Amino acid sequence: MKLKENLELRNVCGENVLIPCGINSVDFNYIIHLNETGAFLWKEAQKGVFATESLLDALMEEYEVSEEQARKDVVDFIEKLKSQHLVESDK
Amino acid sequence: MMAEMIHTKCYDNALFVSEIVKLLDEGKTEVIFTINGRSMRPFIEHKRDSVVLSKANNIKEGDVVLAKSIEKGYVVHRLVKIDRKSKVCVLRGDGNLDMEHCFEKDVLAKAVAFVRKKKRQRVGVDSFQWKAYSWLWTHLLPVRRHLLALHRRLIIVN
Repeated sequence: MKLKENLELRNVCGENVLIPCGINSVDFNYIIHLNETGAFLWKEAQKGVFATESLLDALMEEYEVSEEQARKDVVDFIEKLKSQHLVESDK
Repeated sequence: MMAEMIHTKCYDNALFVSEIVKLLDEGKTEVIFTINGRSMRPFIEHKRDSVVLSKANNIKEGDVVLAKSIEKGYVVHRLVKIDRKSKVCVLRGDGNLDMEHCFEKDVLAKAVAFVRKKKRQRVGVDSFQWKAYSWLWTHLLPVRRHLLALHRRLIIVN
């Protein structure tokens, strides 16, 4: 999977948000909020092509969580990305 | 650990405004967000319509601007008067009868368009629709009180 490129992760008002950035315009009506873990996973996913396993490894390296919990978080994260149409599907 | 990882949210006013100003300073030409409040009725409806803001270059009377007013803090209201000497501006929401004041330097952005209703129809400030509405609504100020009362009733009926 790969993230769509028209989203920028920014720190707005002390919180992590994804802002859809056209070249010239920013639309706050379509802003997406990420918590700390969400932002971490986003940064990892942004490095290029990603999969559940690669995000899982990164998450477990960064945080002390059980594999079960980490897997649940990663699966949740990817599902939410998909539901909001933020990933380019594999072809 | 994380109940809701991705969701949408709105912000504290002062912080939100500083973010808008920052984005415009960084070179974004347009920042769009939904208007909260009824003070720009009847054209702009609370939580339904959005405003498209750009940098506050060459502001003039009649423009709708984002400004930090002395009386009410941050507002998106119409610029009624600019005193170029004292650099004080007078603002009034289309849906209001009272006025606010701000210094020219506290006019932070200017509306270039509005996005309205479910159709998300974009109305530029150079459009005939906006200009005609602005002219009419501004000239009807003496009877605005009654028009607003009527508008409120119509909205309840609808």
